[in-house]
Amino acid sequence: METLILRKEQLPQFIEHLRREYRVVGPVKKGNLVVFAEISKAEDLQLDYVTTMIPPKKVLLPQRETILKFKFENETPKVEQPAVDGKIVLFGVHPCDINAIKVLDKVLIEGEFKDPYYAQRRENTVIIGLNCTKAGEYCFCTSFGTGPGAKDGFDILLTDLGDRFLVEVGTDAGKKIVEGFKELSKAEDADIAKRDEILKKVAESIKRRIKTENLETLLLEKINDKIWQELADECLACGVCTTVCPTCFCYGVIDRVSADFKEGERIRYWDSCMFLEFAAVALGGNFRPGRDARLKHRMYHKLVYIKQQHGVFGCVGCGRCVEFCVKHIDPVDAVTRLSGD
Amino acid sequence: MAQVKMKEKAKVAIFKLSSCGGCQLQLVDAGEDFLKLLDHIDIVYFPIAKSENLDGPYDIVLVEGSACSAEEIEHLRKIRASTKYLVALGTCACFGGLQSIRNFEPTAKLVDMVYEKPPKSHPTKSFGIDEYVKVDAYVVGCPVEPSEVVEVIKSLLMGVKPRFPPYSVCVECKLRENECFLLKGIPCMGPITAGGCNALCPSSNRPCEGCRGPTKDPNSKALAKLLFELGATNEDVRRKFRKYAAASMAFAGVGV
Amino acid sequence: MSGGEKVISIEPLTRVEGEGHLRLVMENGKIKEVSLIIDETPRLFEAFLVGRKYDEVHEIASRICGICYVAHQITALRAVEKAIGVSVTEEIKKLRRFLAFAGWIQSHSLHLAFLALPDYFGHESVFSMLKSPEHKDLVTLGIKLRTLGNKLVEQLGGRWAHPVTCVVGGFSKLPDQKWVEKAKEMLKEGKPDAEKLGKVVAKLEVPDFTVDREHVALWDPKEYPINEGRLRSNKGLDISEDEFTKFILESTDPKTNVKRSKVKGRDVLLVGPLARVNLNYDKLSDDAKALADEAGVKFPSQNPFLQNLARAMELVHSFDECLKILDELDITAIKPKVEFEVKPGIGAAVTEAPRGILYHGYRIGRNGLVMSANVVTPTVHNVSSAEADLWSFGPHIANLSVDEATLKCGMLIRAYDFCLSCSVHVLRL
Ligand code: SF4
Ligand code: SF4
Ligand code: SF4
Repeated sequence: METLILRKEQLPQFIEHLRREYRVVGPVKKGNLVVFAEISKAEDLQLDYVTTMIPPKKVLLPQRETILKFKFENETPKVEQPAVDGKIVLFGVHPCDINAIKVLDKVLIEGEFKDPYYAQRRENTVIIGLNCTKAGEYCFCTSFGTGPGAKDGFDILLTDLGDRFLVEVGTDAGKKIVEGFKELSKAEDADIAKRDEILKKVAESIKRRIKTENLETLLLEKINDKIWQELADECLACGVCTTVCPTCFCYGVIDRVSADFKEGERIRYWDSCMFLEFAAVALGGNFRPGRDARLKHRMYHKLVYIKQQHGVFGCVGCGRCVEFCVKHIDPVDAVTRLSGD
Repeated sequence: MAQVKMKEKAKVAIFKLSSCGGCQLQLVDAGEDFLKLLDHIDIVYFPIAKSENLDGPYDIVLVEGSACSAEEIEHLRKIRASTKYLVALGTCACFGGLQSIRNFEPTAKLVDMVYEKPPKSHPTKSFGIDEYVKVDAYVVGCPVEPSEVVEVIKSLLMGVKPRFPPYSVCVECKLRENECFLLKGIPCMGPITAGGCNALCPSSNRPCEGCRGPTKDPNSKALAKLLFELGATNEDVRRKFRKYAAASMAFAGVGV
Repeated sequence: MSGGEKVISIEPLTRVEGEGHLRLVMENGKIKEVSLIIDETPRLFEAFLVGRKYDEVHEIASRICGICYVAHQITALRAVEKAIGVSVTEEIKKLRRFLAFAGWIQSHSLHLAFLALPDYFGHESVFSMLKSPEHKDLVTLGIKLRTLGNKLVEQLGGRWAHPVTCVVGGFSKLPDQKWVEKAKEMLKEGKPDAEKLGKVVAKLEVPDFTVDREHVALWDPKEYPINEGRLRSNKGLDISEDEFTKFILESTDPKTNVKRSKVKGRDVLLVGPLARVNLNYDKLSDDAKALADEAGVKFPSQNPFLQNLARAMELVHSFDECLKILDELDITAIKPKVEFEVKPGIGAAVTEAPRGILYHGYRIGRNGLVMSANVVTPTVHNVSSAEADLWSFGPHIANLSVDEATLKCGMLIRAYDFCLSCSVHVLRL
């Protein structure tokens, strides 16, 4: 892998360089939060952020998107595909989120059914990652090897070394970008050593952990444990956990017709397994009417079922569902209690 | 799906019980969409807007307000008998509305506070109209969103079940990337309040007060517990739950 | 054609907010019975406001009325702020003034175009006007103005019906400079529409019907009053809002759920646009006054039918006021909300709701909870006034057929723009 150096004072030019071909979406400040939003200049970026509330997933799998439009003309409906967005750089994506996108790729592109809307956006997106130089209170990425440093899944990866970024190139698309920006210099061995040292420190600072060995066996054994009811008593079923999760991909689909009944659109929106209606079926049936069943399903899906189906954990340890849950319902805590430690 | 075809124009009636009148106006204020709908519906009963008002049978009736007196309950039953579909329009009609705050005191005492002599129609407790009649569709909100009133009429014209957001206000609040009030220690009803307002209040820098009523499966007890942990008194908690939807099953029992 | 008994019955009252009915009986050209009855069930707001917290009073009071929520919110806020000892900045007052005028635009355009005009053009409603090539444009004009009013309230208030950004001490959130520019543009674009509608109203033929009524409105030496001022009348009333309940007295009408009101020692009173225009004519903008010339009417006037003209003048005036406020405003420099501590106390406020003077009074206890609440809405006064008008309306309808007489009575009642939901919320003092 090619390694280069981007000095911090060169960042504005680098962003300019990117903006010639791409819309650039990166972390920016909104009140006391940091959110992913389109930027027009480097100063907009807030690169020392820890975790955003809504993951960059929102760019690839928007919360609400029109997947087709239809018009009625002389009895036959005319169907139209909405235009695809242009090329985007997702800038400053942390390793957990890079790995989350890898999970989405597995499920939505490499799985049995390819999701054309996601796939198209994904193809048009370049990921410029950013290794973590500090961890958040709720992070537990080290449990899954999904942070604090990224190993793959990016086109370009940056590490903040103080006055400069170490630049690692991961794909041809990334290579093309750095080749077009001649101002980069070669990285020294010392730079790479410094990266490793930083990542080691960050990894050591992360104390929260889910033991992944035998996790499946443990969870399947404890499927009727009393802690699920205890957690369900606390859970508000508000759906915040799935809304902030970078790997949740479940969606609902709805048709909306115009008030003159002449045209309409088919919309898909993020759904959540935490809602009563999620597993509702015709004739009033519901597979998961209880909050305990829904809460358990969410955690099992992340920690067991996705792994069984797609070979990867559905959780990347970003800590969002814990941090933004007003009850701080926590899979780390749940697994720890179940394993009796 | 073939072209959506309507045989004749549907007969629509809009009735008002105990309410502020705001929800019915939201339909009129739906603008373009309302005018487009007029090609497919005939509004035959709508006293606030027209002088010629016809008796039933109707195809669709929107009822605004809660039935709060013997006369209103009687009236509501007659309305039900005269229509194919009955829609509860607004939080008053769905869950009793703000006037359900008074459900916890004897009405006679309250009437006495307001009137020297007993008024002509004596108010009773305020419940959602499904306490008395079958309701085919609910549009929540105090007031309802104009787009949702239009949606419910469109759905009924097409004979499909109207679909509204399945999520809580919190979900919309996250999507608008607001800072959370509860996480800052300030009480908010968002987690158990039905979404659809696009988290209007938290996005306007004030907590959700629950004007759209409860979600489908609200854990009122757990939210109450959290509010206690944040330092709320029993009275504070009661006030939060006994507001727009004090008569709903989910909220009525909290903090007693 | 006079002679015999003639019964005029309008049940339910239509194109009026809320539920009510009218019965008028004439015999040999003389009026024998007038009963204007409100059929709303009391929602008992004043009773269930007791025990609620000071910071939710305006939010709850807003739901008294689905048309004049802005007025209820601002009045409740001012009364509560007085009770707990909060004074807001001049800037916040200006923004509230803007919001109140935007509320007038919402309400006045709704009333004129949707509720009042159909009668004058031989239609039963705007729906039938929409089908008439001749009158369709009037409805579209009305919708445009109403939508504009809605948008103005929404942009500052967060939502047009029952806004959410108004809080004790100011606003929870304010829009930015871009909004100021946008709102100005909208107002400038919309004003010609308001004038157009105004001219239509100015040209309406109204009966030459004069009564002798006490007109009560807020008054201010400099500004057209909306959110504060002294209460004055054409018969010498001149009091502060704190004296309201000493001079405006009520008694319950046993037949209805409504209290009737009188000025102390005198008779029933009329409030609303006509009273305001009569008492504050000099402070109206020139373009608003131009409508009076257009109509050939001199104010003060005692013709209740001219309430529509006064409303149209106020509609135009509201555009001018809103523009003036925006011109003077530096929104980027405004602190949305003042800091305060809650002290127990009593507070009363009177504002000019679209339909006339609106009174809110509260006593707030040491814990910040409401101990007593009192709301007196404009329709309370106007129902009595309309009834009194109808008693002297005999000569104007004596020679008409029942249908024509019914229409005329309806027109008179509609000129008042009643809000019957509001009117059943009166508290014993
Ligand atoms: S739900 Fe709210 S807005 Fe609708 S009628 Fe009732 S009080 Fe008014
Ligand atoms: S502020 Fe309220 S609505 Fe928003 S996330 Fe927090 S609890 Fe939910
Ligand atoms: S945030 Fe809550 S109180 Fe505000 S509009 Fe939405 S549901 Fe109503």
